[in-house]
Order: sequence, then C-alpha cells, then structure tokens
Amino acid sequence: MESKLNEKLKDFIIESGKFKGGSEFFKVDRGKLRDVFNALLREFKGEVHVTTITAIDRLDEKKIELDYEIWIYPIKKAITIKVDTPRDDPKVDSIIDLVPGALLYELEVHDLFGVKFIGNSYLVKPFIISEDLGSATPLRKDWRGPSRQ
Amino acid sequence: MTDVYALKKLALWGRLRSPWILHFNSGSCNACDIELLAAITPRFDVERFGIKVVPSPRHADILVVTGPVTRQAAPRLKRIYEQMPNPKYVMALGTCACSGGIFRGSYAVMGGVDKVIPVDVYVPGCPPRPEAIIDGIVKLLKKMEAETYGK
Amino acid sequence: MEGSLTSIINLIFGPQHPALHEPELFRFKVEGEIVVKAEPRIGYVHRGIEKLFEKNAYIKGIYLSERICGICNVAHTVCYCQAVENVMNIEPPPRAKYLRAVVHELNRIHSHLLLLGVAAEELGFDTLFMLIWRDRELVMDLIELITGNRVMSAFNTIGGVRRDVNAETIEKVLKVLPKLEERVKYYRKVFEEDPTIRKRTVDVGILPRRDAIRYCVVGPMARGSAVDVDIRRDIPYAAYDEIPFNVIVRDECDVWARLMVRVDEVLESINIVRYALEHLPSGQIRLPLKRSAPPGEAISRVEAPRGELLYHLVSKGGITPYRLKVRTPTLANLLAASKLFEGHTIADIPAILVSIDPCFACTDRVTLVDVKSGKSTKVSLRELARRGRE
Repeated sequence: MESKLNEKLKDFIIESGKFKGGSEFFKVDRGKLRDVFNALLREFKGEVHVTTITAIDRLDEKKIELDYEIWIYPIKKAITIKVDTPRDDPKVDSIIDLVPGALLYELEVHDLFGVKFIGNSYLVKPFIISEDLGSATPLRKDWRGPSRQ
Repeated sequence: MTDVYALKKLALWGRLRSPWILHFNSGSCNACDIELLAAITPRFDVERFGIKVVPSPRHADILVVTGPVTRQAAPRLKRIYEQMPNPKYVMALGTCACSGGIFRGSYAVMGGVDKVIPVDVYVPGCPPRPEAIIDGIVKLLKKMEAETYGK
Repeated sequence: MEGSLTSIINLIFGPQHPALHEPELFRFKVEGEIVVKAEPRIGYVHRGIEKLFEKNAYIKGIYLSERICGICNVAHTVCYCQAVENVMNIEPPPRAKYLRAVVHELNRIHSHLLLLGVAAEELGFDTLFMLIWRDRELVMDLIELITGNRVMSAFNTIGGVRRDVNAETIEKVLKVLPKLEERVKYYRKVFEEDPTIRKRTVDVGILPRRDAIRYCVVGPMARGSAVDVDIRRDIPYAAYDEIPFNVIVRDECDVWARLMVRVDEVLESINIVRYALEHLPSGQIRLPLKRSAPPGEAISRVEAPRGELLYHLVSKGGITPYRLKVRTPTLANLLAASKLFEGHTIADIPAILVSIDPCFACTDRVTLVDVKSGKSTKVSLRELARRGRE
C-alpha cells in the first residue's frame, strides 16, 4: 500500500524529503493540490485525515508556505504536503469539499496570514482574532500590532 | 442613624456570611478555573464560609476573574461588571489576571483585569493552589468588612 | 412545538456555569425545541501564543506551551519538547522517556476524571460529581508527589525530565493505584448501567464513523465512533513502544460510547503507570541543556487526553523558533461537534456538549431570545436537561 502512495503521487511531486524525526514531506505545485487530495482519497477510500494546515511566512523567500499535515488511516502513515504561494497574493484552492474537516484550518490560516482559499465560501474575518483587530494578519512576520502593555 | 448602622451591619454580615461569587473566565488556560472549582469540592470546601457560586452578575457580590483578558473577552468583562449591583468587589485570580502573566505583551490580550475594571484583591499563582484562593477570599472578606465599618 | 408559530430562537450560551466558567462555545439556532444549527464560536481564548513562541528562547517555550491548556498541560510539554529535540537531533535517555509516559498518563487520568465529574453534574448527578472529583484529588496528589506541583510543573524539559523518582515515591504511587482503580471500576459500573444516565446518553449525539473521518475528528470522540487511532500506538513516542496497553474503541458512536471510552482509558492509564514504574530503566533523566537549535523542521504528534496534538517547528538556527504551529485536539473536534446538535432537542444539548470534552467550555446558562417578541429569558442547562426528562 505504501509503495502505491509514492506511485500515485509521483506525477505531482516536485520535491520530497524528511523532517528531523523522520516524517516525510512532499512538495507539490499549488495548482495540483486538489489532484493530490483526489488521488489520496481515491486510493485510500476516503480514509484520509487532515491534522491541520500549517502556514509559514517565509519572508525572505517572499512566499507563504502551506503545509497540509495528513494522516492516512489504512497504512497508518503521517505525511506532509507542502505548497508555496506568493506572499503578495497568497491564494490556493480550497479542499473543504474533499475533506470537510479542513474547514476550520483554512479559516484560521485566512485569519492569521491573509491566505485566500478559492471556493471556500465560509471565509470570514475576523475568525479567531478580535473584532478590533479585524483586518490584521498578526502571524505575518512584518505585522506590527498594538503597542505593548 | 443607629437603624441605618444596624441594617448595614446586618447586610454586611449577610454578605460576609454568604458572599455570592460570580466566576468569569477572560481567556484563561483553565488551570486557575479548575483550582477554583477544587476549592469548593469536599477536600477544600469553601462552603463553610457560606460562599456560594452564582450564575448571574445581578446576584453577585464578588466577581472572580481568571485569564489575561483577551481582546475578545474585554467588552464582555466590562458588561458583566456593570451589571453587578453595588457594592461590588473584584478578585483577579491567577498571575494572568493580575498582570497578563506569561501572555503579557501579546497582541491578543489586554494584560490583566485591572486594565479593564478595578480590582480589589490580587491572588497570584500559576495557578494558585486552592489554599491560596481561599486565603484570597478571606482577605477580600476582611477588606469588605473594613470598608463597611471605615476601619 | 408551537405549530404554526415557529420562530427562530437564538440560544446563546454565555459564560456562566457556577463552577466552571468557560467562554461561549456555540451559538444555537432553534425552532421550537429542535436545534436547527449550531455555529462554533472560537477566538475567546485566543492569546496570540504562536507569535509569542517566536519571541522566546526554546527553554522558555516550555512554560508557554504548558499554559496553552491548563488541563492537558503535560501533553503540550511532551509534544513541544519532542519537536525541539527532533530539530536539535537529541534523544532523551530511556529513564526520562518512561517518566514522561508516567506523568503523561497521570495527566490523562486527571483530565478524564475531570470530564467525567462534569458529565455527571450536567446529567444531574451532583453527588457522583463530588465523588469523582474527590478521587481526582488522589491523582493530583500523585502528580504533585512526582512533579513537584499540582498543575503546572514544567516536568518535561528539552532533553528529558526535570525531576527523578526514588524507590519511596514509586512505592507510594503503586500503593495508591489499586485504590484509584477500584473507585474507577465503580464509576464504570455506574456509567454503564445507571438507567438515567443511559437514557440521556445512549443513541444521543450519534456521529457515524464515516463522518468522524470526514470531519477529521480525534481522540475519544473518534474512538467512540469506531475509528481505531491512538498516537501512542500508531506513532509511538516516549516509552509507549515498550509498554503494553490497549486502545479503547467502541462502535456505538453516541454520547454514551464517548464517555465509556474515557472511563476505560483511565483504567488503561492506571496499568501503564504501574507497568512503567515497575520497569523503570536506570540512568540519567536528562541531557545537558542545549540552548540553540540548528536550522531544520520537525513535526511532533502526541495523544493528548482530548486527542491528537500536533506541533510543527521551523528553525532557522538560533535560540528562538522561526515558526511554531500548534493544533489542539479540541479545534479538530469542533466542526463535527457543531453538527452533532442538529436535529436534537434543546434538552440533549448538555449531554452532547459534555461528551465533546471541549477543553474550553462547559457553559451552563442559556439566553433564549424570542425573535418575534424580543423577550429574553435565561434558562440553565440543568433546567433544559430536566425538561427533557419530563
């Protein structure tokens, strides 16, 4: 089953590697994100769990990286799918129709980083941050917030 | 005048005998809240002071606040304080409530209860032990008594 | 039901449980007595922690991670320390891993007992609540004995644990465990057999397995819906690869199943603590402290009491993280939880809410606003529950 994973994703993978501690990641082009999820869901009969979407503001590389942390039930394997979006116009396709459980993570990343998830009609700002900070994107590296207490 | 004084004393002892507490979580991690709860369970038992925890600000003498007061919680905290009848007292329970604690400086918190409403008693600790919470309540009762008699 | 007079009523849960005050968790839209929609509302507890991590040295991050959740604080420090250790390419000594498991499990026991006590109270069993919380104090004593503090102890550190146990401590703990086990077996019987509890929880809040997976649910909520997953077994960490234990999975998919999973997990945890202390390897409890990390990335997952907890650490070298992402289990379960209420009566809300074990809610009072008349009345969860029983 595991070799099938690599085979299925082969067409989409730009780069692969391992995190410190051993878990694998695969970098894919953001246009292929839905293809990857469709392939995984088909292969593993829908038993794909999205733990979270980790957004990383890579300021000097002018990009916001999105890491989809995934657990695949049938092969008991954790993988990460990495996708880059340009910092000045961060957009990626939503996957909430494929994996409804990803909803709150897309909302969170949208709120804290300003990334748009195309096709997610639930996007709202603010979501987690307070009303008075409404349009802020606090987790961006260049964001300066209200003065210190 | 003596009648008023007697009534005041009665009201005070009524209040001191059974202070009614409203607990408010302003974004706490829960540690302080569960130690407060532990204070009213059998082992620590603050009910011997006649302390009652009530669900509505309109019935409360004492507002016990946990948490660093997140920006979202601040307006609600103000509103609850305003709904309490006079005389009212506020306890900042836990280091976060006292000063913002470990979250001081974060964009998302006000940094302590007294940034939003006046505080009468500060109980530091992260979290404070149930014994410390009880000690804080007793100090507050003494303060309430002192204020009523102008000692 | 009102018949032709159906009005959409907003049930607003406010912060008001007399004992446990948690911020608002759901906004309920109701027609008559039936919940039509439950909207999750979060952000009340948002403290900007991920940003704070970036400004603090790794060693200080331990204290920060601990305070993300005061109840499952140990799980957070285990996960955090593991992520940092991975990036630093260090591994705690075997004795430290066993001690980590011991305290991690004691934390799980106290957390589950806390929830079971609250569940008992919400279901109307005040005495049971007091009894369970009294026995929870036994666990708090053990935690204090081993870690030095009841709640926050920063027991875990980068490279190991901070305090060792001696033979006397081990003996004390092993003496208390059978007592605790006997009490929990009694509670198990109550939750399993009491007709009132069963009436309020069996076939209530059903989450089918397929939905549990689609909504990416974790922890006891998943295992109560036949999803066989437990990080301790599936991605073993600390000493879990060497300690035998059972993963508790039930297929009833209802509130009752979710409560029973937790009861049985307490019994399993007691066994794990006993085994770990009886097989404690000798040696160091920690490595010399490393302050700075090389560049690199690491992911750490642990099975917190409420489910899968994830930390993703990005280091660009130095003593502070470049990015630290934390995904708490409660967030994972929130979406499925909000779906659970739909179609149920208002009276079922307390039981369903409690079975989620939200880690930041157990609100008690409800404001009913009649949209047509504009009148608002306050009803307690207890009263709602009582209405359901009539």
